[in-house]
Amino acid sequence: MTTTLENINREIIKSYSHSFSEEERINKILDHINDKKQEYSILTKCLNKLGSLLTKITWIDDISTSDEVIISGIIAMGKTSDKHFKKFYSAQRRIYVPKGLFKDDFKEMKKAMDFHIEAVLEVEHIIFDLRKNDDFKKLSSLVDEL
Amino acid sequence: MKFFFQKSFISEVKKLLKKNSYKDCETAIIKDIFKLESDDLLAQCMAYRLNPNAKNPIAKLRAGSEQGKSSSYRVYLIAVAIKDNYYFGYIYPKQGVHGKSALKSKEETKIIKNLLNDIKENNVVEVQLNKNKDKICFVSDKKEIFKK
Repeated sequence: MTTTLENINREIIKSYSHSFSEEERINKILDHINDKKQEYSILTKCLNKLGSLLTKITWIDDISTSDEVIISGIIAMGKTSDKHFKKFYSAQRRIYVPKGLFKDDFKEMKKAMDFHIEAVLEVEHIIFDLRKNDDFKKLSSLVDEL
Repeated sequence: MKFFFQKSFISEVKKLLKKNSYKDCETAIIKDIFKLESDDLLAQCMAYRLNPNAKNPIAKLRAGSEQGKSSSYRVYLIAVAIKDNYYFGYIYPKQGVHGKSALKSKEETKIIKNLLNDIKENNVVEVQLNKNKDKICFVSDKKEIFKK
């Protein structure tokens, strides 16, 4: 093969093009990682906020029967959403954990998911079980006498 | 603001601290409850109120490991707030060997009943943070409750 300027030029152009497309590919991957990180962070924040809001329900005074209907709706929504969150979490983990990605993000998301469902179940227990319990009702009035 | 522990509460925390997975338990209680130093502590920490329309709230407080730490666990504490005094009566983790998924109403009522009896009979110990604010100690002799 004769080394002519034409040949070298052709090879140089090919290499540059290849390096540009490689750079573009890396940039796309990095953008995707950043997008995913942001997506997980938003979901984690939302779940933590939901958990905090749910705990606030137990601090509301004079909960009426119609309030209980609303709370039942919130609890049902929480349980259904939890199933979706769990599916999403498992699917995403299956894709990215074997590649060694987002380990800490998934850990924080799992913590937030646990907090969320714990809050849902705790509110359900407090409003619809504990507060209806006769022994607990008696105890509640005793506490206020102290 | 004063803190009081039921004796059985101290034993429960000691039991948890013996297990490696709960070794940060005291730190979590300090960070998420004691260090808040707020006039309205229960509004500042993650707490559920168990009794409705209450003058003296019975609360279930949540404390947990810090963000990013390798161990991830939560403990729940049952406490009664009377004026500016906080009485702690029970602690249980959600995960691990001593983990409990949830307490039943009957169990919770029994725990609170015991705590109220001990409060009435003054069978509780006053506790506070040490100077470095990293350990919980008895008010009476300033000795650390949970030694390593």
